[in-house]
Amino acid sequence: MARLARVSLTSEEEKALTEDLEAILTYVDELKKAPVIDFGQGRPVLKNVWREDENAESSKAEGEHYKVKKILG
Amino acid sequence: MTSVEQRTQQYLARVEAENPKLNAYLEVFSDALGRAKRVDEHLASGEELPLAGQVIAVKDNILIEGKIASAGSKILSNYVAAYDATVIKKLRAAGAIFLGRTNLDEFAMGSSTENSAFGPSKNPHDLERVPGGSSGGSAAAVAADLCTAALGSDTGGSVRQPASFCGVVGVKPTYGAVSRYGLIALASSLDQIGLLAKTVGEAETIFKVIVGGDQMDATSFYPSAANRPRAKDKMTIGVPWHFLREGVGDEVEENFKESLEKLKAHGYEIVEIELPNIKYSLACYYIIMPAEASANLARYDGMRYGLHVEGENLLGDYLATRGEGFGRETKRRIILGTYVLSSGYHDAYYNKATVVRELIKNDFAMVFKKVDAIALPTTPTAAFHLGEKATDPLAMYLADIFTVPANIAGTPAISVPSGKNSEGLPLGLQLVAPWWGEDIIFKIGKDFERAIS
Repeated sequence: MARLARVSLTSEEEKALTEDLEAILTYVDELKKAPVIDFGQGRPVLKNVWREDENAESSKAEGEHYKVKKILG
Repeated sequence: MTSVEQRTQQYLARVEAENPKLNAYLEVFSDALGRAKRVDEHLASGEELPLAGQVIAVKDNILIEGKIASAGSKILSNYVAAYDATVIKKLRAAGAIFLGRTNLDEFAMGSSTENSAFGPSKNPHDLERVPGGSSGGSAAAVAADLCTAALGSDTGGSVRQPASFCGVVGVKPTYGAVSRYGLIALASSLDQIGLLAKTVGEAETIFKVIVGGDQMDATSFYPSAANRPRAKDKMTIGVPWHFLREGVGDEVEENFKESLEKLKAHGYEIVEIELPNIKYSLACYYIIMPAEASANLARYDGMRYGLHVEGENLLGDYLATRGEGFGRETKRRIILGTYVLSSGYHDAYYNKATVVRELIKNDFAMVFKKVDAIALPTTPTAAFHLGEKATDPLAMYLADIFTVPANIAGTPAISVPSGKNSEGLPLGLQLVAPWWGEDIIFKIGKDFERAIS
């Protein structure tokens, strides 16, 4: 998980954090006891105030792929 | 009358004398006096500046162009802000002087300032104790009279909890009421810039300058007075007694009851209310906050900002930079956030938390049909000792149990000093109002100040 989060840990940190995270995850498991309520339209989420993403590279589309500059040699 | 320059000079002298033992300021700005002189010139030419004479301390996660903004982290220790936060622009235009940047828990993650890469701040009421956090440097600076007021940020109580620990006023506005442009992000659906001041009236004056929608922050918005909940002459305050039983100290409970009596004597009606899902607030918070933090902090990759540590390859650079640059609590939350968002766990944790968040919001909405505000103690205990909770993250998180619900729901809340415990440590009364109801908590807060003085 630390690798996925892109953080290196010392072995001492790894041990301490494993214990901490277990305790925290046990605490947040409380949420499983919360009632399940149907709000009518499925899961309520925060409203997205951003515009839809647009791809500026779309003019360079080739079938399902986009042409971009080479990054690694 | 003293000039702004003289006043700034006095504060600079106080900071020089007092800051070494408090570690409230990380840096005092050398250009403060020059700016004060210019404010005096503007005043002399007849300009009206509503905040002339305010000498303000700025939490070090709010950007001021040309100044370091470290967020209390080693990874940003040499990062110089390229632009002003919107709050900074507004305050400066109103004549406020920025005296310096104040200490905080790394990336505003913590309740004591012990997570700062630059050492903890101390509580001016007892140097062996924490000032609270994460805006602990700002709270200590206001309490020790090292500024007239301070800016903070509140994601789960980071303005109100230190305000309570240090015996000052702390305001967390409605989510979106103050632009977050230029605030270093922790958890974007919870973060809000707030204020620490000596009196409610002073906090209100500054709030009126910084409030309002901003083109640079799409989540910012403030309705006109006609569309906001109004402060009335007779108001009803609800108390969720069931939630207080979750672990409040005896002295805090006694002080809270006394505070309610004073409000009653001042003409407020106090009623018992139920918020059935409020008990899930902290668990909900410790999923949503780290999830958002892990995404927000992905930008500190050693390429774009601050610290860079060489690794064997590109992935090695990321691992080494973040491994060395981030402190223990930051790593803990980034890993926790990565976990609750990861494939297979996303539904059980993050999605569940967003549903519970709606339940909690709904509880508040129902209750605000019956009452004008909600009262709670700001914290379950008074300021704790340095080191007391440093090795037990869960115990530290519980210090925010009464402040987190307002962030989860997005409502405004204020902490007002409510006296001291038997050890002489300050306690705070928290008032929560409906969305955009800052006027309500300012009015009750001012009445409460009068009632206890």
